[in-house]
Amino acid sequence: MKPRRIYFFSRSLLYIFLAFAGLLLLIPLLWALSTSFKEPSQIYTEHSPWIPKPIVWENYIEVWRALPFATFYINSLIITVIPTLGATLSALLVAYGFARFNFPLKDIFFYVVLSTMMIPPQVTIIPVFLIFKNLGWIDTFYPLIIPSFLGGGAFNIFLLRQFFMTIPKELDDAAKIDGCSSFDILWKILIPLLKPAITTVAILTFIGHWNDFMGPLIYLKSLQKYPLALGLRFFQTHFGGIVGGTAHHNLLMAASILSLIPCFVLFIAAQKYFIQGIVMSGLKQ
Amino acid sequence: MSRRVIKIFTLLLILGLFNLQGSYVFGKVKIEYLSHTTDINELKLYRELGEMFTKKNPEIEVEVTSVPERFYEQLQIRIASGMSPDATFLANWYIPPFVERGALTCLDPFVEKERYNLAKFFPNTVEACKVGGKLYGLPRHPSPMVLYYNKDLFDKAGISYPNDNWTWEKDFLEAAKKLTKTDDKGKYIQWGAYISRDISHVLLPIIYCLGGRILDEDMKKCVIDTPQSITAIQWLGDLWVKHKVAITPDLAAGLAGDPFVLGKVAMVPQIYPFIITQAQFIKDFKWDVVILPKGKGGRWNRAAVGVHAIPAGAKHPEEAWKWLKFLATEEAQLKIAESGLVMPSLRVLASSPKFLQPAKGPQINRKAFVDGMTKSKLVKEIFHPKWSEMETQVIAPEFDLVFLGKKSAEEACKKIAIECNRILGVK
Amino acid sequence: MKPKKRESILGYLYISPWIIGFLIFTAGPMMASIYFSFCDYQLLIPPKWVGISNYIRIFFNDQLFLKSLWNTFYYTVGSITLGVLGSLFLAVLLNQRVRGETIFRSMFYLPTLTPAVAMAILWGWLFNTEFGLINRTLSKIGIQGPAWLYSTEWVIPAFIIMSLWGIGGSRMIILLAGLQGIPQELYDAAEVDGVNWWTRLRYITLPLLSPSIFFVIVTGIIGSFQIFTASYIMTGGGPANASLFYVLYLYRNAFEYFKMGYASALAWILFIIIITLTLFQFKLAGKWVYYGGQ
Repeated sequence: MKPRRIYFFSRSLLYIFLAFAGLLLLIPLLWALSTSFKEPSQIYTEHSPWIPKPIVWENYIEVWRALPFATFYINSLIITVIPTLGATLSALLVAYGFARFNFPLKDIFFYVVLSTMMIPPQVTIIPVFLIFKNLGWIDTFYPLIIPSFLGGGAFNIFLLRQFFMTIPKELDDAAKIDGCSSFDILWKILIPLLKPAITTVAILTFIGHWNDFMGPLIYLKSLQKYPLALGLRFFQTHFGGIVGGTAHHNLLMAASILSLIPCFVLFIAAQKYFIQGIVMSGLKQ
Repeated sequence: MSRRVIKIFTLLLILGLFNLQGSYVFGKVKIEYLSHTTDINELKLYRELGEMFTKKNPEIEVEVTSVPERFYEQLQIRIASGMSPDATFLANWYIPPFVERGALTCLDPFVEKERYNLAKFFPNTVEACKVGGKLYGLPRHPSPMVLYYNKDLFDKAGISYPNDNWTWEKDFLEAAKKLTKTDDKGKYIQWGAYISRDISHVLLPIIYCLGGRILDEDMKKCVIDTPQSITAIQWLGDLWVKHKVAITPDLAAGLAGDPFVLGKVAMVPQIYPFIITQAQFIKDFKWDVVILPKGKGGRWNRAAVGVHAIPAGAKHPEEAWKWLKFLATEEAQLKIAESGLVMPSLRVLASSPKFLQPAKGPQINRKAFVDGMTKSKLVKEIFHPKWSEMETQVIAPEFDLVFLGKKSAEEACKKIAIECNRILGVK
Repeated sequence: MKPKKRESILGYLYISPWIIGFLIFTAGPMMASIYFSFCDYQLLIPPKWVGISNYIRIFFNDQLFLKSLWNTFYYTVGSITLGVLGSLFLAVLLNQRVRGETIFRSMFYLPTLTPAVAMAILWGWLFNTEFGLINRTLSKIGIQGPAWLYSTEWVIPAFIIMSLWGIGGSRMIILLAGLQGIPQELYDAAEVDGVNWWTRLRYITLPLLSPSIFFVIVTGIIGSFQIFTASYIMTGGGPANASLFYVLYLYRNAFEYFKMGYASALAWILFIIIITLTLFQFKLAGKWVYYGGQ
């Protein structure tokens, strides 16, 4: 047993260090927040303060007006929510198939699913781009939405299959005796039990799509279709730079903050699902 | 009753089919003009021009569209997907690669049939629209560089303003040195000039003025490793490295605005639109423009011309040609010039008081722009189809190193010559 | 119908969305892109077979290929080494039965939720030579900060520093979970034997944590090789291509120069590099990863 004093000392040190680390990690965000409320004269000086004097709330309004941010938000929601729904449903079906049915070549197929997680997307982007170009779907949302409905992504399939396997098969059998079809079993019995898992998958997929930059960059061309990722970048190249004589880092920071609010809110609301999902992904190698 | 219904239905169906084409609206032809910027002023301008055009050609309507960014990528994708616009704007240095890929419609048949008079344009600008002697567009506006200078800073330093006889090697450098200042801690607070690192449009003309070249006359070989070229590149690099009279890009990016507008640099080579985009906001000092200095290599300028063209696969090339011709009339060119965005490509207009002393806008030496066109030779490198590749992959990185002081011009030029000749296929 | 056959049919039916998706968006494109990699394909002109000349050009004639590969390696080594150590360190700290673990965990995780574009813009501002927070802080302690994103030496270190912002992210969570999976009895037994913390670390913690560490390194390297958004937005690959990363170079060839054949070849080379690295790591794993319980 360590002497009490040393123990106390080392524990305090631990807390201080953790708090310091946390603060350090948050500083970039705090600084961005601070800049977003400043006037230009307060930004480009050597002694830019942490707390702006005055606090310019109007920056946010100006940003909102400068570009159709409402449209950007809606577009982001479209290319995030719909694929998330599609991916979750689709992955559920596929994972169910792998978890509860036996069919020839099942294991091989599953290994293929796993191995696709290792393929860098760059190997397929060009032909996929050409497919969509020939379908005339450039500058539409379809390329960003449709693929999610076809399988939902290897990661989600894998995760959901793991969760399926934690539910005893006897439940299925009991339902079968009662005359339920396989779909009924899935829908009425298994899914309700898997709600936490499904939520986790949905949230992780949501964040992934919200963050997507290269996809929209390649497929979306009109300003009206831009999601936040592209809209923010457009803002940077056209307004954050030098327009009419002055730079606008305050507006740029405000725009950036606007774009990260949804993810933050989602996280704070659904933390434990996040963590759970990440943990599960790490446990099976 | 059913027979009547069928007749009406069939009629509606036929009308509907016409509309499905999108480009036929009750007998009118609708053509699409793709603008390369989303600048509301420019879009408004073209829409008004479109209305003027329809008054003269009632059976054609013009729809003006635009893309927010990455214009040339989007244009190529559209052409490749069979969705070409009928007419488009194009910067002339894109013409060679586009023509190489068969993406533009040749205009010679139209010109020959009507014996269209190309002499009304500045000859340089028409050349810029040609590849292999064939015409692929009509010039919209030339975009020569001039030297913008801050009169107040010159006054404070006691130097006389730049004039038409200035040379880079002597007058420019001397003035720049006197106009560069540090504070008592040795930190730089004012520079003689802001020279962009853009090779095609800013550095190339300066290199030529200094007697250097990158490609030879026939554009078949890279000759940047000749002594004159090496000297020229070294002279350029010294602006940042040795004399430190030019502001470095990282400091320029850290400023709260454009370096010239903020009064931090005394001179900047820039183009005509700079007046509207930046310079008109200058309140703190007086400024003017002068023709770009010359050098021992002569007087050179950038070969940049804005062009109106017809992409390959356009659905209504005939009507698009009429639109192009209209855009090149005095009426349309005057309207374009009045917007202050660009200077006209018609010789008669560019030398008229309507352009030189316009009713609105700063009263400056606009003749410098015209002289920049007529009194200079234009650099030709950018017309080579592989130029963009050479510029971004080989020349720019090497120049970066020279300008950072990490390589001597001699080393860099030798390397550039080897690589470029490889790209050009020279043995 | 025999139940077994019925089961097979149903099974296939359920996984059919994935099969279709796989064929259309993975298998098919992969084969197409191998084909393109042997062609000269410029989007507006149909593909023209040129054999291995793209590959020859890449390996013998393409400075930027080598440069971008080097940049990516440099970044990966720096980012993964420091990142894994950092995440490990934080995970160990959080594992000390800290009160308010959830709060700390959230604070650490929050940065990774920043969308890539916002993060790039934010850090671009932090690295601003004149007014950025980093150089400002450095100048307060008397150091004149470098020109970060405009300096050929410091640009990749800048990206590495930016990547360290994520040390509290998923990587740390996985390591923490791994730590929490180590049975307490082992530590108690060690305590009884009077073993010091270093030996404890070396013989209990690290071996039992090694599967998680391995996983984190493998996925980390794969992810790190694909850095794109940050460099696209912050530096465009400059200065002098010092931050031209492999995927950025690939993207440019494909979607800016429209040299799709060439870009396909680049993509396949990336794939082979990643597979080789991963297999190599698996082989190496035999030497240090401990799968005791299995």
